[in-house]
Amino acid sequence: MIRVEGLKKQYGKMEALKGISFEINEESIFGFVGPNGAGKTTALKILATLMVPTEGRAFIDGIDVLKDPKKVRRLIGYMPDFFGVYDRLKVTEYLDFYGSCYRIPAAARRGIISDLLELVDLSHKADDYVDSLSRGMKQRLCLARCLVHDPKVLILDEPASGLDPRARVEMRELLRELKKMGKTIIISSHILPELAELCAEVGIIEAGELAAVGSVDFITSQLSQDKLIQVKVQSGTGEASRVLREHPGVAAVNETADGVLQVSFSGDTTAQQELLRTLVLAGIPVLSFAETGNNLENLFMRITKGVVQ
Amino acid sequence: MIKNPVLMKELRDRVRTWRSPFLITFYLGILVIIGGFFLYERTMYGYAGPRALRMGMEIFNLMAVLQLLLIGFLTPGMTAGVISGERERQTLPLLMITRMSPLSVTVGKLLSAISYILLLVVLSLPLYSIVFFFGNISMREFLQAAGIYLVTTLTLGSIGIFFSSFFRRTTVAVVFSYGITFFLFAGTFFVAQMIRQIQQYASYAQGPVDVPFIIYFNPLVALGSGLPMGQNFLPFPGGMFPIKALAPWQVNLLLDAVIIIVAVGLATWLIHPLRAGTRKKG
Repeated sequence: MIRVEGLKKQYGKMEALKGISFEINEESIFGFVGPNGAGKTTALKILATLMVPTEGRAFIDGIDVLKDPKKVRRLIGYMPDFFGVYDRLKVTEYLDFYGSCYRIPAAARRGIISDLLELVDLSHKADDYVDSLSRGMKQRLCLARCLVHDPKVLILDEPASGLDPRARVEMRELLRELKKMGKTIIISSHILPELAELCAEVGIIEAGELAAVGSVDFITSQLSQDKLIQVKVQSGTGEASRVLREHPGVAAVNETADGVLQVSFSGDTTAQQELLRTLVLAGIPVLSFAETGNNLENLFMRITKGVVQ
Repeated sequence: MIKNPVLMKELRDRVRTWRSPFLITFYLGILVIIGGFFLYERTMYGYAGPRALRMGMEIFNLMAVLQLLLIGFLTPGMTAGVISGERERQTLPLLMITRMSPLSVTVGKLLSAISYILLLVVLSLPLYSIVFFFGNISMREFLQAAGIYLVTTLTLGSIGIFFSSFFRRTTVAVVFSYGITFFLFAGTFFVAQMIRQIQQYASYAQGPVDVPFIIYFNPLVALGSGLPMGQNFLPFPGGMFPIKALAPWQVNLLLDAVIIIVAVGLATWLIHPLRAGTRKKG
């Protein structure tokens, strides 16, 4: 549904995108993850026909976003990383305005707006001024705006930023619902776990380059050679740390403030048993020994080297 | 055009604020106070005889000039923030990805400003009943003045919209829009005066020189050339205008048409999201 080929964008001497390529299947959710300033917004703006890339091409439903932006605009709903609302309009008027901008007949708009407000759970706020809505409500209203012309593809730039935990969960549920409705969604965030359970695939971008693309499981298996093991000892963390470091499978040991040792370890489960036995035989009072899993946060920190601040 | 969503939204937006009744009161208030004072002053000692014949024309001239000055005062303020305001609210990209073309956005914004000025002109119509009470004013003269209001509003509105799309900040756009408006109303007169003096000095022996071309840009001159007794308050009385085939207001109309097309065209180009392509060829 979405195909990006060698997309580059240069602002003066600064390269915001250094030739990224990826593909997104129909009716799936693709997570675009990277630290702030990595190039996510630039890539999404190009897809949304709001920016010309320096090089490369992008297609939505087979249509070149540069050659036929008008056709592409009918297919996409774009939600930028800011609200973009008119304060002096009421909620229904706001949606009605965008509906008319998409040339939807007035008679059809009424029904569409009512359905959309129900979908984003804002029916009770239909006659309120947009200005009076909470941040989460405004965000949901903006999502409703994206849907007013029933697009096939949704391009959402940080839709959950600045939302409280409850609003985040609501937003996630809403996106799942939209996927069920057959939408293809590309969503960006700088928080990987936020997207992990939602997205079939993620692309991790840093400093304008795609560090990894694929399913969350694929990225985990491909990119994380090391496992992270947490070891808790009753006493003698220094000694435990020394014993661990001597083991050939241990790449690094990190001692946390509460006396827990985080061990970066490569090896299978038998090798893990071996490591535990080594500790016990060395007389280390081990309280717990568990693989924490390469959670996405760790993985993200490892893949992105902190080039972008 | 009436179905232009931007126009409909802007119209609704304009009448929802406290500014709207304030502006209407201000506009009509100025006309009533100054017109009333003028009327009082002229009728203090009666208005019988030949004075009465001139009265209608004099009040009409005063009201027409006053109204044009008010339009010059209000239009830049109404238009200079329309695009930059969208940028500041970050709603411009959202408009650009709809099926609205950049041209329909600029035209919608311009028409909403025009509609508001027209509303003010229509609201001031009852005041003209005084003019018609004294008589001596034809409908043609009245419509001609209304036409000049409309074209001047469109011109100043287009300039306002151009600066609004050129500058990111509304305050800068407002300053430039008022600057150009001031130049059209007063600056053109001073520049013309200077040019004329230099030319007169240079061609002293050859007799009087034409009025410099720049004066055609002045909306007051356009209005004056179409008013009864308007020749009296045109600058440089007795001076010949360089284009003999057309009346000054007709030349002004043509010049304004060019300004409107260029300003709206540039504004439309400036807000086009894919305009600034720095794409490598090949």
